[in-house]
Amino acid sequence: MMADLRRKRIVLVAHSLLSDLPGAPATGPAQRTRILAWADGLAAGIYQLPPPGHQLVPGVDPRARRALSRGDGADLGFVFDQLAVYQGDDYELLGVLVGPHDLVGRAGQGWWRRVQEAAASHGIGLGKKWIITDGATPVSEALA
Amino acid sequence: MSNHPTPEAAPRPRRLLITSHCVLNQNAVVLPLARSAGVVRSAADWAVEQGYSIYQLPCPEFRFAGPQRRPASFDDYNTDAFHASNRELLKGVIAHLKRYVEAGYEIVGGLHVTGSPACDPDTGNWISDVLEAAGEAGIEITQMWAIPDTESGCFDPADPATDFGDPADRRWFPVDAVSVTPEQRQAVLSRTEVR
Repeated sequence: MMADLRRKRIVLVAHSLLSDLPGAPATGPAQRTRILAWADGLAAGIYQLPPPGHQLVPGVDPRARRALSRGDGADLGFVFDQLAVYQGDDYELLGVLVGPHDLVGRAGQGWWRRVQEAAASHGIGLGKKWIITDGATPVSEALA
Repeated sequence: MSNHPTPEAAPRPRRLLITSHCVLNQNAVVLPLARSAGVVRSAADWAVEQGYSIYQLPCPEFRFAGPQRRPASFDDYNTDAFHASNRELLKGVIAHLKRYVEAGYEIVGGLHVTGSPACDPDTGNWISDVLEAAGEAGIEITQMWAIPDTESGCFDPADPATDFGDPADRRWFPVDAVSVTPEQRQAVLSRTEVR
């Protein structure tokens, strides 16, 4: 009989930390390996957040970025729908890992606000917010 | 000096690998088959070492049947309801992948799970829908890899069994299946549309 090894722990990881998005700074393999090891150390599965609309287009055309950002709410709504199901079955959301560029500027702040709103509308606490500050170690800070 | 990654510091590989959800999150796997606490490191580490960006697909089984679902067969998921759920789920996925392609990224392929009724590269019902939706959007997926159907689930790229190849050459409908074939389903849909 096979033993089920899950620990029922989940971390959300910003899309750009695992994938170089067209409109975001690249992260690279070394950092991704560290993120995998970090999640492994927490005995947590990774749920990759959907790509923020404003990071899906290269360049800085604000109209194009705003237009794509309108899809963020639906994408995030699906993720938090799923997380609500997990939580109803006693899975734990440990927190959210983001890169410094994810929160930069009005677009980044707007995206983070949409993450918070999607979580709140599903009755989900986001747990800790880890921000990669030096390209190596996730730094924890309590969510306001 | 800041070590923040920048476009100058880290050249973009522009190669994107789509992965089954559970490669990174074993919490989505049907009970009692989770083969790690969370991440399948052997497979995920390999993907990163190749320089691939990772796009984690949603889990169609979890979405359709939740965390307490029973282990299922190919036929259990080869239903109109499951395929319809998948098509809905894929709208957002395909929109994202199209953006990647438009920005010059290469979709290098998919990393999936041998033996899964949804995600087996050979017969998985979700993989059928992913390939179909991608094809309709003009996105080619011409290479797949797979976590083997073993107790450890260890992904060894030196094992030829992990390299599935081009799905266009290898995918098949299970000979022992009792549910409808894609052609039969399409024929029913066509008749419905005529009415």
